[in-house]
Amino acid sequence: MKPLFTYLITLTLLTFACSSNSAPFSAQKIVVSGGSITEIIYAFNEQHRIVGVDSTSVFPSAATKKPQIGYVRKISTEGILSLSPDLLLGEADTGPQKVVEQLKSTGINMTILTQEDNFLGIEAKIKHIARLLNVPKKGEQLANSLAIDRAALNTVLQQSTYKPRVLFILNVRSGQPIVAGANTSANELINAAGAINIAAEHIQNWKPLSTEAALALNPDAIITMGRHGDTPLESVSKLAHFKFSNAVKNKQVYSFDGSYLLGMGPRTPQAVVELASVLHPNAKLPATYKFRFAKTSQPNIELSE
Amino acid sequence: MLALGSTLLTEQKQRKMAIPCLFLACVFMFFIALSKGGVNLSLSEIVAIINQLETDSFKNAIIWQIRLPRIVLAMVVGAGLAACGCAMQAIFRNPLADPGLIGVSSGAALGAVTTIVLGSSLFANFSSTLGVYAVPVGAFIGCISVCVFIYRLSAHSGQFTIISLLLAGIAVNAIVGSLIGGLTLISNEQQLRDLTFWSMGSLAGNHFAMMLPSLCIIVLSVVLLLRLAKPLNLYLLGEAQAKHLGINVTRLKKQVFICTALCTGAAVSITGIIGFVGFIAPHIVRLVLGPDHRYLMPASILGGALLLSFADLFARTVMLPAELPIGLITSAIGGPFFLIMLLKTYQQRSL
Repeated sequence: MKPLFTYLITLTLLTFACSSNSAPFSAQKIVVSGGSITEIIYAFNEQHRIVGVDSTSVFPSAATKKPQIGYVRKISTEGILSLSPDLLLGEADTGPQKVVEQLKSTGINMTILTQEDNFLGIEAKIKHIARLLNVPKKGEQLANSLAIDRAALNTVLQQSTYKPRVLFILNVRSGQPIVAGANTSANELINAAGAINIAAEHIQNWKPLSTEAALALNPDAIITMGRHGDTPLESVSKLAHFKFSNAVKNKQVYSFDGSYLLGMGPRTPQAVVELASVLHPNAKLPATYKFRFAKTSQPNIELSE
Repeated sequence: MLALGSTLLTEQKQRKMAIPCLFLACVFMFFIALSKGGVNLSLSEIVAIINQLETDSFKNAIIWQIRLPRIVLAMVVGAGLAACGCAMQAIFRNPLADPGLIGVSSGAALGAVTTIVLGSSLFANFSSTLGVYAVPVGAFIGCISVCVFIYRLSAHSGQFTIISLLLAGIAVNAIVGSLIGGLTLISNEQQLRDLTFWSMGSLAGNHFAMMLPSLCIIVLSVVLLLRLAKPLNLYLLGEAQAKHLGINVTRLKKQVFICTALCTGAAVSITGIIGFVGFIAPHIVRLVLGPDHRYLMPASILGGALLLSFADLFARTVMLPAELPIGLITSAIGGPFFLIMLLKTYQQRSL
């Protein structure tokens, strides 16, 4: 208890000393709704200030041990108040709207991020959260560390003029795969990784794909959502939709962890580098580049039928 | 089936006792629900807050802005759904009837889903002017339009027969189901999640200004339905018999239809779909008190209020700080309880 106390005092003093324009208030009991915010606060090593998280906060796994306030679009007023937070920090899709309004009326200190949640905005989001937590230096550091990923991504993309035609599948378990069309985060990241989302021309949002349309699309590569240890090629090649596609023929089927690739948190730029490097296998990463987080895509070399 | 358990408590006295008992239970439940939740408050604190003696603005906000509206809503909606269920079961002379049959729930769902999915594009004006009221208003409009449609279909050339009502209801429900499916398909991720949660029902996040129109409609309809207890009793004898006894049967059916549509519509529009309360509360009461609507109707109303407020208390406290959807709880608690009641009654009757 004591070291924490001294830490808090020094932190308060430091913020007083360092920041002349930002408010001296620094939230110590934060409820987070939105997985990427949790991830960013953990990356700042400020996780002791989190008193509750939503169910999308799954990384790092320690975050799932914190009190759960429910799903990000279905948070509960009293549940959050019972944690007596001094800051509620939520992503733009925090809801339902009625509950957000009600929380406002109780006078709780809350910040809902409204800036666009996209690949290019990750650094801005990190800095914004750092300002709210009164740790702007950590924010700068973390945001700058992502520059390495951006540079590596550029290096990969410069080496290849070829744009593979990619299909992103949310779920292959049911007979009809749900794929990412235009206006999805997956579409944005596929474009960022120097590829073409072939579903985007025909489909808006996440939609089930018909068998014949899938046959006609004939993707060069397929990305699925999954966990480490999944064998996406096996499950995808069983579907009539993709059995005869170039992706299955050439074993270009990869699975990525959802919060890693689509979370728009500090790991996402690295995930896009990984995505770009599997989609452009001939392009080389910079010699100095290191993957700092666990990679999730699975090579499918050992599988042969 | 309707006469099930009528021999259980034949004495008039016991039937009369049931209503004050249920009322007391509701009052008791009201204070329990007021004191329990994410932030625990003692009874003395609650009394102080209600008398405006407590000045702690946080606790004041908890009671006045969060808990009290929610409990009032739970009780009124529970009462309204139970009254409608009770009246519907009488009009259809079938214990399986519920307000969903006349298209209320599916109409409200269609309205709500349309507002959620097309609110930002096609009905941008509607959504931006109404703000948080857009979905409830949309749901209410949807519900009333579908009910009017079903009414027009079944009230054919002065006739208003139950069988045509039932058939029209089933057909329109199917059409509405496919429309909702279509809207679900064109919705984006966020809208999809919103509409999924809407259909599971929730009592959270309403303040008095928002609830007031719904509460007025529900209370008014409940009072009207209460007054129909005697004619409903006679109607149970059969349409012809009721006619001979001086009941305007067509008018009675229309009255029940309109009250149910308004009442359930108002309830569903603000809370989303809360299944099973309207079905189960009258049933349980009928098992104990018998089918006399003079007792059945008020007792069902109190029972519905009790059931829904209990389910809501359970939903918001059992997995704090998260919250369960209320629709899941009403079915999960109500279903098994109902089965036990039913089995016990059958056993007693067979003895």
